[in-house]
Amino acid sequence: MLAHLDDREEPLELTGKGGIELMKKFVVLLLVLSAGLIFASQTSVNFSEPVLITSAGQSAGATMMKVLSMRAKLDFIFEKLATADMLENFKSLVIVVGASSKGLGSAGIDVDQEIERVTLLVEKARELGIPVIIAHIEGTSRRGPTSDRLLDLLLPYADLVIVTKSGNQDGKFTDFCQKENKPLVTVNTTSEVQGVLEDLYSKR
Amino acid sequence: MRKFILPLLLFVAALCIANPLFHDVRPGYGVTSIKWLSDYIPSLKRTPGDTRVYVMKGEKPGANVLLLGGTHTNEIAGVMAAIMFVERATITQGTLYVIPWANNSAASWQGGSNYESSETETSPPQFITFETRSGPRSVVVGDRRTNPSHQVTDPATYVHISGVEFPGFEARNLNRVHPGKPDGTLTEKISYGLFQLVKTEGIDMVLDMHEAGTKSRLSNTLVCNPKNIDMGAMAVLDMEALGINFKLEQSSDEFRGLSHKEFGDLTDALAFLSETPNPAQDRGKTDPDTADNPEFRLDRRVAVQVYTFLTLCNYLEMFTNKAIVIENMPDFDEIQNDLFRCYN
Repeated sequence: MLAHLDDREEPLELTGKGGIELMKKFVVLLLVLSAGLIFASQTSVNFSEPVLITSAGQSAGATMMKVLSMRAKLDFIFEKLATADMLENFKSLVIVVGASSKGLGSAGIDVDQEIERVTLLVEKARELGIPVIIAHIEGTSRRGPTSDRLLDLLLPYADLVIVTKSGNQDGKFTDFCQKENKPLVTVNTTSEVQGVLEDLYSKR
Repeated sequence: MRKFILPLLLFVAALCIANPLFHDVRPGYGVTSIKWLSDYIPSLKRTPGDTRVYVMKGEKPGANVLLLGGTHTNEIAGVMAAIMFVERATITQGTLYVIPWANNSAASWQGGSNYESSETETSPPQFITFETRSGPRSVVVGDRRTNPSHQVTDPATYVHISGVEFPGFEARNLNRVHPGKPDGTLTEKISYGLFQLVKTEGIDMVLDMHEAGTKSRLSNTLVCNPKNIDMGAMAVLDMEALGINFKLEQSSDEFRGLSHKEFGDLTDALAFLSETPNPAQDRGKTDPDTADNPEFRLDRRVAVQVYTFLTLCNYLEMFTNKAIVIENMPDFDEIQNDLFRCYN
Protein backbone atom coordinates (compact mmCIF):
# COMPACT_ATOMS: atom_id res chain seq x y z
CA MET A 1 0.00 0.00 0.00
CA LEU A 2 1.47 3.27 -1.12
CA ALA A 3 4.99 1.98 -0.88
CA HIS A 4 6.11 4.90 -3.01
CA LEU A 5 5.05 7.35 -0.30
CA ASP A 6 7.36 5.71 2.16
CA ASP A 7 10.80 5.42 0.63
CA ARG A 8 12.75 4.49 3.73
CA GLU A 9 13.48 1.10 2.23
CA GLU A 10 14.98 2.53 -0.96
CA PRO A 11 18.74 2.20 -1.37
CA LEU A 12 20.66 5.43 -1.03
CA GLU A 13 21.38 7.05 -4.37
CA LEU A 14 23.70 9.97 -4.70
CA THR A 15 23.02 10.73 -8.32
CA GLY A 16 19.95 11.14 -10.50
CA LYS A 17 16.42 11.40 -9.11
CA GLY A 18 17.27 9.50 -5.93
CA GLY A 19 20.20 11.79 -5.25
CA ILE A 20 18.07 14.86 -5.69
CA GLU A 21 15.46 13.45 -3.32
CA LEU A 22 18.17 12.67 -0.77
CA MET A 23 19.54 16.15 -1.13
CA LYS A 24 16.06 17.63 -0.64
CA LYS A 25 15.61 15.64 2.55
CA PHE A 26 19.04 16.75 3.78
CA VAL A 27 18.16 20.38 3.14
CA VAL A 28 14.83 20.00 4.96
CA LEU A 29 16.59 18.35 7.88
CA LEU A 30 19.12 21.19 7.97
CA LEU A 31 16.33 23.75 7.94
CA VAL A 32 14.53 22.04 10.79
CA LEU A 33 17.71 21.69 12.80
CA SER A 34 18.70 25.28 12.13
CA ALA A 35 15.21 26.42 13.15
CA GLY A 36 15.72 24.54 16.39
CA LEU A 37 19.14 26.11 16.94
CA ILE A 38 17.81 29.58 16.18
CA PHE A 39 15.10 29.43 18.82
CA ALA A 40 17.37 27.62 21.27
CA SER A 41 19.78 30.51 21.03
CA GLN A 42 17.01 33.08 21.26
CA THR A 43 14.98 31.85 24.18
CA SER A 44 16.02 31.11 27.69
CA VAL A 45 12.52 30.04 28.66
CA ASN A 46 12.16 26.41 29.65
CA PHE A 47 9.15 24.73 28.07
CA SER A 48 7.98 21.70 30.04
CA GLU A 49 5.24 19.12 29.90
CA PRO A 50 2.36 18.63 30.37
CA VAL A 51 1.25 21.04 27.70
CA LEU A 52 -2.19 22.57 27.22
CA ILE A 53 -2.94 23.15 23.54
CA THR A 54 -5.82 25.37 22.51
CA SER A 55 -7.12 27.43 19.63
CA ALA A 56 -7.65 31.14 19.28
CA GLY A 57 -10.21 31.52 16.54
CA GLN A 58 -11.30 27.86 16.22
CA SER A 59 -9.69 27.16 12.84
CA ALA A 60 -8.45 23.69 11.98
CA GLY A 61 -4.85 24.75 12.66
CA ALA A 62 -5.26 23.74 16.28
CA THR A 63 -6.08 20.21 15.17
CA MET A 64 -2.92 20.22 13.05
CA MET A 65 -0.96 21.20 16.18
CA LYS A 66 -2.62 18.35 18.06
CA VAL A 67 -1.43 15.88 15.42
CA LEU A 68 2.06 17.40 15.36
CA SER A 69 2.23 17.13 19.15
CA MET A 70 1.13 13.49 19.00
CA ARG A 71 3.86 12.80 16.48
CA ALA A 72 6.38 14.65 18.65
CA LYS A 73 5.23 12.45 21.56
CA LEU A 74 4.41 15.37 23.83
CA ASP A 75 2.47 14.89 27.03
CA PHE A 76 -0.42 17.20 26.23
CA ILE A 77 -4.13 17.86 26.47
CA PHE A 78 -5.93 19.37 23.50
CA GLU A 79 -8.90 21.51 24.37
CA LYS A 80 -10.15 23.88 21.71
CA LEU A 81 -12.10 25.93 24.23
CA ALA A 82 -9.65 25.72 27.14
CA THR A 83 -10.44 28.05 30.01
CA ALA A 84 -8.19 29.81 32.48
CA ASP A 85 -9.15 27.53 35.35
CA MET A 86 -7.66 24.53 33.51
CA LEU A 87 -4.17 25.99 33.46
CA GLU A 88 -3.04 25.05 36.94
CA ASN A 89 -2.40 21.47 35.84
CA PHE A 90 -0.02 22.43 33.03
CA LYS A 91 3.55 23.65 32.65
CA SER A 92 3.24 25.28 29.25
CA LEU A 93 0.53 26.64 26.99
CA VAL A 94 0.35 26.50 23.18
CA ILE A 95 -2.19 28.74 21.45
CA VAL A 96 -2.76 28.21 17.74
CA VAL A 97 -4.15 31.36 16.18
CA GLY A 98 -6.50 31.19 13.20
CA ALA A 99 -10.02 32.57 12.91
CA SER A 100 -12.67 30.47 11.22
CA SER A 101 -16.31 31.47 11.07
CA LYS A 102 -17.21 27.79 10.59
CA GLY A 103 -15.16 26.80 13.63
CA LEU A 104 -16.55 29.59 15.79
CA GLY A 105 -20.05 28.68 14.62
CA SER A 106 -19.54 25.01 15.44
CA ALA A 107 -18.27 25.98 18.88
CA GLY A 108 -21.34 28.14 19.38
CA ILE A 109 -19.40 31.29 20.12
CA ASP A 110 -18.64 34.61 18.42
CA VAL A 111 -15.35 36.44 18.05
CA ASP A 112 -15.88 38.61 21.10
CA GLN A 113 -16.49 35.57 23.29
CA GLU A 114 -13.37 33.94 21.85
CA ILE A 115 -11.32 37.04 22.58
CA GLU A 116 -12.61 37.12 26.14
CA ARG A 117 -11.71 33.44 26.65
CA VAL A 118 -8.16 33.65 25.30
CA THR A 119 -7.50 36.94 27.11
CA LEU A 120 -8.39 35.33 30.44
CA LEU A 121 -6.24 32.35 29.48
CA VAL A 122 -3.04 34.29 28.73
CA GLU A 123 -3.55 36.56 31.72
CA LYS A 124 -3.80 33.50 33.95
CA ALA A 125 -0.71 31.97 32.32
CA ARG A 126 1.22 35.15 33.06
CA GLU A 127 -0.03 35.12 36.66
CA LEU A 128 1.04 31.48 37.11
CA GLY A 129 4.35 31.94 35.29
CA ILE A 130 3.42 29.38 32.63
CA PRO A 131 5.33 29.97 29.38
CA VAL A 132 3.22 30.57 26.28
CA ILE A 133 3.85 29.60 22.66
CA ILE A 134 1.82 31.49 20.08
CA ALA A 135 1.68 29.62 16.77
CA HIS A 136 0.28 30.53 13.37
CA ILE A 137 0.66 27.49 11.15
CA GLU A 138 -1.96 27.77 8.40
CA GLY A 139 -0.24 30.20 6.09
CA THR A 140 -1.43 33.30 4.34
CA SER A 141 -5.00 32.07 3.90
CA ARG A 142 -5.47 32.38 7.65
CA ARG A 143 -4.27 35.99 7.89
CA GLY A 144 -7.60 37.76 7.64
CA PRO A 145 -8.66 40.70 9.84
CA THR A 146 -10.05 38.52 12.63
CA SER A 147 -6.94 36.33 12.79
CA ASP A 148 -4.77 39.45 12.86
CA ARG A 149 -6.93 40.92 15.63
CA LEU A 150 -6.29 37.79 17.68
CA LEU A 151 -2.59 37.91 16.86
CA ASP A 152 -2.33 41.54 17.94
CA LEU A 153 -3.93 40.58 21.23
CA LEU A 154 -1.89 37.45 21.89
CA LEU A 155 1.61 38.04 20.52
CA PRO A 156 2.61 40.32 23.45
CA TYR A 157 2.04 37.34 25.79
CA ALA A 158 4.27 34.99 23.78
CA ASP A 159 7.48 33.55 25.17
CA LEU A 160 8.04 31.98 21.74
CA VAL A 161 6.37 32.55 18.38
CA ILE A 162 6.11 29.88 15.67
CA VAL A 163 4.97 30.83 12.16
CA THR A 164 5.05 29.27 8.71
CA LYS A 165 6.90 31.23 6.08
CA SER A 166 3.75 31.76 4.03
CA GLY A 167 1.94 33.17 7.06
CA ASN A 168 4.66 35.79 7.52
CA GLN A 169 4.86 37.11 3.98
CA ASP A 170 4.14 40.65 5.14
CA GLY A 171 6.77 40.41 7.87
CA LYS A 172 4.25 40.96 10.66
CA PHE A 173 5.79 38.33 12.92
CA THR A 174 9.36 39.29 12.14
CA ASP A 175 8.68 42.96 12.80
CA PHE A 176 6.87 42.30 16.05
CA CYS A 177 9.41 39.85 17.41
CA GLN A 178 12.36 42.08 16.53
CA LYS A 179 10.71 45.09 18.11
CA GLU A 180 9.64 43.26 21.25
CA ASN A 181 12.72 41.02 21.44
CA LYS A 182 10.67 37.82 21.26
CA PRO A 183 12.11 34.57 19.89
CA LEU A 184 10.62 33.63 16.53
CA VAL A 185 10.80 30.27 14.73
CA THR A 186 9.91 30.36 11.06
CA VAL A 187 9.21 27.05 9.35
CA ASN A 188 8.78 26.34 5.65
CA THR A 189 6.01 23.79 6.10
CA THR A 190 3.56 22.98 8.85
CA SER A 191 5.10 19.51 9.16
CA GLU A 192 8.38 21.08 10.29
CA VAL A 193 6.67 22.25 13.48
CA GLN A 194 6.97 18.66 14.72
CA GLY A 195 10.77 18.98 14.77
CA VAL A 196 10.52 22.32 16.54
CA LEU A 197 8.36 20.77 19.25
CA GLU A 198 10.75 17.83 19.59
CA ASP A 199 13.65 20.21 20.14
CA LEU A 200 11.69 22.47 22.42
CA TYR A 201 10.57 19.64 24.68
CA SER A 202 13.82 17.65 24.38
CA LYS A 203 12.26 14.74 22.52
CA ARG A 204 15.28 13.90 20.38
CA MET B 1 -45.82 4.70 -43.68
CA ARG B 2 -44.43 8.23 -43.45
CA LYS B 3 -46.91 9.17 -40.78
CA PHE B 4 -45.30 6.58 -38.48
CA ILE B 5 -41.76 7.81 -39.00
CA LEU B 6 -42.02 11.01 -36.97
CA PRO B 7 -43.64 9.37 -33.92
CA LEU B 8 -41.09 6.57 -34.15
CA LEU B 9 -38.22 9.04 -34.25
CA LEU B 10 -39.70 10.94 -31.33
CA PHE B 11 -40.07 7.70 -29.40
CA VAL B 12 -36.46 6.72 -30.08
CA ALA B 13 -35.35 10.23 -29.15
CA ALA B 14 -37.34 10.03 -25.92
CA LEU B 15 -35.69 6.71 -25.09
CA CYS B 16 -32.28 8.19 -25.77
CA ILE B 17 -33.04 11.18 -23.57
CA ALA B 18 -34.32 8.94 -20.80
CA ASN B 19 -31.26 6.73 -20.77
CA PRO B 20 -28.18 7.79 -18.88
CA LEU B 21 -25.12 9.16 -20.62
CA PHE B 22 -22.50 6.49 -21.36
CA HIS B 23 -18.81 7.20 -21.10
CA ASP B 24 -15.58 5.81 -22.45
CA VAL B 25 -14.16 4.12 -19.36
CA ARG B 26 -11.79 1.17 -19.86
CA PRO B 27 -11.88 -0.83 -16.62
CA GLY B 28 -8.73 -2.62 -15.60
CA TYR B 29 -8.08 -5.85 -13.69
CA GLY B 30 -9.15 -4.31 -10.39
CA VAL B 31 -12.83 -3.99 -11.33
CA THR B 32 -14.69 -7.05 -10.06
CA SER B 33 -18.24 -5.97 -10.98
CA ILE B 34 -20.13 -3.01 -12.35
CA LYS B 35 -23.32 -1.88 -10.72
CA TRP B 36 -25.70 0.99 -11.32
CA LEU B 37 -26.79 3.62 -8.87
CA SER B 38 -30.33 2.46 -9.69
CA ASP B 39 -29.47 -0.83 -7.96
CA TYR B 40 -29.81 1.23 -4.77
CA ILE B 41 -32.84 3.29 -5.87
CA PRO B 42 -34.80 1.49 -8.61
CA SER B 43 -36.76 4.59 -9.64
CA LEU B 44 -33.51 5.98 -11.08
CA LYS B 45 -33.30 3.20 -13.66
CA ARG B 46 -33.52 4.39 -17.30
CA THR B 47 -33.26 8.01 -16.22
CA PRO B 48 -30.44 10.45 -17.01
CA GLY B 49 -29.53 10.35 -13.34
CA ASP B 50 -28.46 6.73 -13.36
CA THR B 51 -24.73 6.15 -13.35
CA ARG B 52 -22.25 3.32 -13.19
CA VAL B 53 -20.75 2.16 -9.92
CA TYR B 54 -17.43 0.37 -10.39
CA VAL B 55 -16.83 -2.19 -7.67
CA MET B 56 -13.25 -3.22 -6.91
CA LYS B 57 -13.27 -5.96 -4.31
CA GLY B 58 -10.09 -7.25 -2.74
CA GLU B 59 -9.53 -10.87 -1.75
CA LYS B 60 -9.12 -9.97 1.93
CA PRO B 61 -12.00 -8.31 3.77
CA GLY B 62 -11.35 -4.79 4.96
CA ALA B 63 -12.66 -1.26 4.73
CA ASN B 64 -15.35 -0.29 2.25
CA VAL B 65 -14.63 3.04 0.59
CA LEU B 66 -16.62 5.21 -1.81
CA LEU B 67 -14.79 7.55 -4.19
CA LEU B 68 -16.95 10.14 -5.96
CA GLY B 69 -16.03 12.20 -9.00
CA GLY B 70 -18.38 14.32 -11.05
CA THR B 71 -20.68 15.59 -8.35
CA HIS B 72 -19.99 18.74 -10.39
CA THR B 73 -19.03 17.40 -13.81
CA ASN B 74 -17.14 20.54 -14.87
CA GLU B 75 -14.69 19.90 -11.99
CA ILE B 76 -12.81 17.58 -14.21
CA ALA B 77 -9.78 16.63 -12.07
CA GLY B 78 -12.01 14.59 -9.78
CA VAL B 79 -13.59 12.80 -12.72
CA MET B 80 -10.18 12.02 -14.22
CA ALA B 81 -8.86 10.79 -10.86
CA ALA B 82 -11.85 8.48 -10.41
CA ILE B 83 -11.41 7.03 -13.91
CA MET B 84 -7.74 6.37 -13.18
CA PHE B 85 -8.63 4.23 -10.15
CA VAL B 86 -11.09 2.23 -12.27
CA GLU B 87 -8.52 1.65 -14.97
CA ARG B 88 -5.29 1.18 -13.01
CA ALA B 89 -5.87 0.24 -9.37
CA THR B 90 -6.08 -3.24 -7.94
CA ILE B 91 -7.39 -3.87 -4.45
CA THR B 92 -5.93 -6.61 -2.26
CA GLN B 93 -7.86 -5.78 0.90
CA GLY B 94 -11.21 -4.09 1.33
CA THR B 95 -13.58 -2.88 -1.37
CA LEU B 96 -13.45 0.33 -3.36
CA TYR B 97 -16.59 1.70 -4.99
CA VAL B 98 -15.90 4.32 -7.66
CA ILE B 99 -18.46 6.58 -9.31
CA PRO B 100 -16.73 8.87 -11.84
CA TRP B 101 -19.93 10.81 -12.65
CA ALA B 102 -21.98 11.08 -9.46
CA ASN B 103 -24.41 13.44 -11.22
CA ASN B 104 -24.54 11.91 -14.68
CA SER B 105 -27.30 14.27 -15.81
CA ALA B 106 -24.96 17.22 -15.22
CA ALA B 107 -22.47 15.62 -17.63
CA SER B 108 -24.96 15.89 -20.49
CA TRP B 109 -24.89 19.66 -20.95
CA GLN B 110 -23.20 22.97 -20.33
CA GLY B 111 -24.91 26.10 -19.18
CA GLY B 112 -22.14 28.19 -17.73
CA SER B 113 -23.43 27.57 -14.21
CA ASN B 114 -21.54 29.35 -11.50
CA TYR B 115 -21.81 29.66 -7.76
CA GLU B 116 -24.13 32.65 -7.61
CA SER B 117 -26.48 32.40 -10.54
CA SER B 118 -28.45 30.09 -12.72
CA GLU B 119 -27.25 29.14 -16.19
CA THR B 120 -27.53 31.68 -18.94
CA GLU B 121 -27.49 29.29 -21.88
CA THR B 122 -27.91 25.63 -22.70
CA SER B 123 -25.42 23.92 -24.95
CA PRO B 124 -23.99 20.43 -25.47
CA PRO B 125 -21.10 19.41 -23.23
CA GLN B 126 -17.53 19.73 -24.44
CA PHE B 127 -14.90 17.01 -24.43
CA ILE B 128 -11.26 16.71 -23.48
CA THR B 129 -9.70 14.54 -26.17
CA PHE B 130 -6.43 12.76 -25.69
CA GLU B 131 -4.32 9.81 -26.77
CA THR B 132 -3.72 6.78 -24.59
CA ARG B 133 -1.89 3.51 -25.20
CA SER B 134 -5.18 2.13 -26.56
CA GLY B 135 -5.73 5.02 -28.93
CA PRO B 136 -7.72 8.25 -28.92
CA ARG B 137 -10.47 8.85 -26.43
CA SER B 138 -12.41 11.66 -24.82
CA VAL B 139 -13.84 12.65 -21.46
CA VAL B 140 -16.88 14.87 -21.20
CA VAL B 141 -16.74 18.22 -19.44
CA GLY B 142 -20.28 18.93 -18.30
CA ASP B 143 -21.93 21.35 -15.95
CA ARG B 144 -22.15 22.02 -12.23
CA ARG B 145 -25.84 21.22 -12.00
CA THR B 146 -28.41 18.73 -13.28
CA ASN B 147 -29.49 19.32 -16.88
CA PRO B 148 -32.59 21.58 -16.72
CA SER B 149 -34.25 19.48 -19.42
CA HIS B 150 -34.08 16.54 -16.98
CA GLN B 151 -35.41 18.50 -13.99
CA VAL B 152 -37.53 21.09 -15.62
CA THR B 153 -38.85 23.63 -13.14
CA ASP B 154 -36.66 25.27 -10.52
CA PRO B 155 -38.53 26.40 -7.42
CA ALA B 156 -38.28 30.03 -6.40
CA THR B 157 -36.40 28.84 -3.32
CA TYR B 158 -34.98 25.40 -2.69
CA VAL B 159 -35.68 24.33 0.88
CA HIS B 160 -33.30 21.64 2.11
CA ILE B 161 -34.84 19.01 4.41
CA SER B 162 -33.10 20.76 7.30
CA GLY B 163 -35.11 23.90 6.53
CA VAL B 164 -32.08 25.79 5.18
CA GLU B 165 -33.01 27.78 2.07
CA PHE B 166 -31.03 28.11 -1.17
CA PRO B 167 -31.71 29.93 -4.45
CA GLY B 168 -34.09 27.84 -6.57
CA PHE B 169 -31.46 26.77 -9.13
CA GLU B 170 -29.56 24.98 -6.37
CA ALA B 171 -32.31 22.36 -6.41
CA ARG B 172 -30.24 20.92 -9.29
CA ASN B 173 -26.93 21.02 -7.37
CA LEU B 174 -26.19 17.53 -6.06
CA ASN B 175 -23.93 18.99 -3.40
CA ARG B 176 -26.76 20.99 -1.88
CA VAL B 177 -29.51 18.38 -1.74
CA HIS B 178 -27.89 15.60 0.33
CA PRO B 179 -29.23 13.29 1.75
CA GLY B 180 -31.91 13.52 -0.91
CA LYS B 181 -35.36 11.95 -1.01
CA PRO B 182 -36.61 8.69 -2.56
CA ASP B 183 -39.61 10.48 -4.08
CA GLY B 184 -37.95 13.83 -4.72
CA THR B 185 -36.53 15.52 -7.80
CA LEU B 186 -34.05 13.75 -10.06
CA THR B 187 -31.16 15.36 -8.17
CA GLU B 188 -32.62 14.36 -4.81
CA LYS B 189 -33.07 10.79 -6.06
CA ILE B 190 -29.42 10.65 -7.13
CA SER B 191 -28.42 11.82 -3.67
CA TYR B 192 -30.73 9.33 -2.02
CA GLY B 193 -29.22 6.54 -4.14
CA LEU B 194 -25.73 7.50 -2.98
CA PHE B 195 -26.85 7.42 0.65
CA GLN B 196 -28.50 4.04 0.11
CA LEU B 197 -25.24 2.76 -1.36
CA VAL B 198 -23.28 4.02 1.65
CA LYS B 199 -25.70 2.37 4.08
CA THR B 200 -26.22 -0.88 2.13
CA GLU B 201 -22.53 -1.50 1.48
CA GLY B 202 -21.39 -0.41 4.93
CA ILE B 203 -19.12 2.30 3.55
CA ASP B 204 -16.41 3.37 6.00
CA MET B 205 -15.16 6.45 4.15
CA VAL B 206 -16.40 8.75 1.38
CA LEU B 207 -14.20 11.16 -0.56
CA ASP B 208 -16.10 13.55 -2.85
CA MET B 209 -13.62 15.12 -5.29
CA HIS B 210 -14.25 18.71 -6.36
CA GLU B 211 -12.53 21.74 -7.83
CA ALA B 212 -12.84 25.46 -7.14
CA GLY B 213 -11.75 28.65 -8.88
CA THR B 214 -8.07 29.40 -8.49
CA LYS B 215 -8.76 32.47 -6.34
CA SER B 216 -11.40 30.73 -4.25
CA ARG B 217 -10.62 30.27 -0.57
CA LEU B 218 -11.69 26.64 -1.05
CA SER B 219 -9.05 25.91 -3.65
CA ASN B 220 -6.45 23.42 -2.35
CA THR B 221 -8.52 22.38 0.62
CA LEU B 222 -9.52 19.18 2.34
CA VAL B 223 -12.90 19.63 4.00
CA CYS B 224 -13.63 17.17 6.78
CA ASN B 225 -16.66 16.28 8.78
CA PRO B 226 -15.73 17.26 12.36
CA LYS B 227 -15.76 13.60 13.41
CA ASN B 228 -12.83 12.86 11.09
CA ILE B 229 -10.85 16.09 11.20
CA ASP B 230 -7.94 14.44 13.05
CA MET B 231 -7.57 12.00 10.18
CA GLY B 232 -7.74 14.89 7.73
CA ALA B 233 -4.99 16.73 9.63
CA MET B 234 -2.73 13.69 9.44
CA ALA B 235 -3.31 13.38 5.70
CA VAL B 236 -2.73 17.08 5.04
CA LEU B 237 0.56 17.00 6.95
CA ASP B 238 1.73 13.91 5.04
CA MET B 239 0.76 15.46 1.73
CA GLU B 240 3.26 18.28 2.33
CA ALA B 241 6.00 15.72 1.66
CA LEU B 242 4.63 15.42 -1.87
CA GLY B 243 4.60 19.18 -2.31
CA ILE B 244 0.83 19.32 -1.86
CA ASN B 245 -0.07 22.26 0.35
CA PHE B 246 -3.68 21.73 1.32
CA LYS B 247 -5.64 23.73 3.83
CA LEU B 248 -7.72 21.91 6.38
CA GLU B 249 -11.35 22.89 6.92
CA GLN B 250 -14.25 21.39 8.77
CA SER B 251 -17.91 21.19 7.80
CA SER B 252 -20.05 24.05 8.98
CA ASP B 253 -23.22 23.42 10.92
CA GLU B 254 -24.90 26.19 8.96
CA PHE B 255 -24.21 24.94 5.43
CA ARG B 256 -26.41 21.93 4.86
CA GLY B 257 -26.79 19.53 1.97
CA LEU B 258 -23.05 19.14 1.39
CA SER B 259 -21.55 15.67 1.12
CA HIS B 260 -18.90 16.04 3.86
CA LYS B 261 -21.54 17.29 6.27
CA GLU B 262 -24.43 14.93 5.50
CA PHE B 263 -22.54 11.67 4.83
CA GLY B 264 -20.58 12.27 8.01
CA ASP B 265 -23.58 13.18 10.14
CA LEU B 266 -26.16 10.74 8.80
CA THR B 267 -24.10 7.61 8.16
CA ASP B 268 -21.25 5.75 9.83
CA ALA B 269 -18.86 6.82 7.07
CA LEU B 270 -15.97 9.21 7.56
CA ALA B 271 -16.63 12.00 5.07
CA PHE B 272 -14.16 14.20 3.18
CA LEU B 273 -14.27 16.59 0.24
CA SER B 274 -11.17 17.61 -1.71
CA GLU B 275 -10.77 20.76 -3.80
CA THR B 276 -8.11 21.45 -6.43
CA PRO B 277 -7.79 24.77 -8.30
CA ASN B 278 -9.51 24.82 -11.70
CA PRO B 279 -8.92 27.95 -13.83
CA ALA B 280 -12.06 27.22 -15.84
CA GLN B 281 -14.03 28.09 -12.71
CA ASP B 282 -12.55 31.57 -12.36
CA ARG B 283 -14.95 34.44 -12.95
CA GLY B 284 -15.45 35.27 -16.59
CA LYS B 285 -13.78 32.12 -17.91
CA THR B 286 -15.73 30.31 -20.62
CA ASP B 287 -13.36 27.63 -21.88
CA PRO B 288 -13.87 24.47 -19.82
CA ASP B 289 -10.81 22.69 -21.24
CA THR B 290 -8.06 23.30 -18.75
CA ALA B 291 -5.78 20.45 -19.74
CA ASP B 292 -3.11 22.80 -21.07
CA ASN B 293 -3.24 25.63 -18.55
CA PRO B 294 0.43 26.14 -17.61
CA GLU B 295 -0.13 27.42 -14.07
CA PHE B 296 -2.84 25.01 -12.93
CA ARG B 297 -2.13 21.96 -15.03
CA LEU B 298 -4.73 19.24 -15.19
CA ASP B 299 -2.05 16.56 -14.73
CA ARG B 300 -0.98 18.00 -11.39
CA ARG B 301 -4.58 18.52 -10.25
CA VAL B 302 -5.38 14.88 -11.00
CA ALA B 303 -2.21 13.75 -9.21
CA VAL B 304 -3.22 15.79 -6.17
CA GLN B 305 -6.71 14.26 -6.12
CA VAL B 306 -5.33 10.73 -6.49
CA TYR B 307 -2.78 11.15 -3.71
CA THR B 308 -5.19 12.93 -1.39
CA PHE B 309 -7.37 9.85 -1.58
CA LEU B 310 -4.48 7.40 -1.20
CA THR B 311 -3.12 9.31 1.77
CA LEU B 312 -6.51 9.26 3.48
CA CYS B 313 -6.74 5.51 2.82
CA ASN B 314 -3.43 5.06 4.63
CA TYR B 315 -5.09 6.24 7.84
CA LEU B 316 -8.32 4.26 7.60
CA GLU B 317 -7.07 1.38 9.70
CA MET B 318 -5.99 3.75 12.47
CA PHE B 319 -9.45 5.29 12.65
CA THR B 320 -11.76 2.38 11.72
CA ASN B 321 -9.69 -0.74 12.49
CA LYS B 322 -10.32 -1.74 8.88
CA ALA B 323 -7.84 -1.28 6.07
CA ILE B 324 -8.06 -0.88 2.35
CA VAL B 325 -4.97 -1.80 0.33
CA ILE B 326 -4.77 -0.20 -3.10
CA GLU B 327 -1.98 -1.20 -5.46
CA ASN B 328 -0.69 -0.46 -8.94
CA MET B 329 -1.61 3.21 -9.12
CA PRO B 330 0.91 5.36 -11.01
CA ASP B 331 3.21 7.36 -8.76
CA PHE B 332 2.71 11.09 -8.25
CA ASP B 333 5.36 12.19 -10.74
CA GLU B 334 4.16 9.75 -13.38
CA ILE B 335 0.70 11.30 -13.25
CA GLN B 336 2.15 14.81 -13.22
CA ASN B 337 4.49 14.17 -16.10
CA ASP B 338 2.39 12.00 -18.42
CA LEU B 339 -1.22 12.08 -17.31
CA PHE B 340 -2.90 10.60 -20.35
CA ARG B 341 -0.50 7.65 -20.49
CA CYS B 342 -1.85 6.68 -17.06
CA TYR B 343 -5.13 5.56 -18.66
CA ASN B 344 -5.82 2.32 -20.51
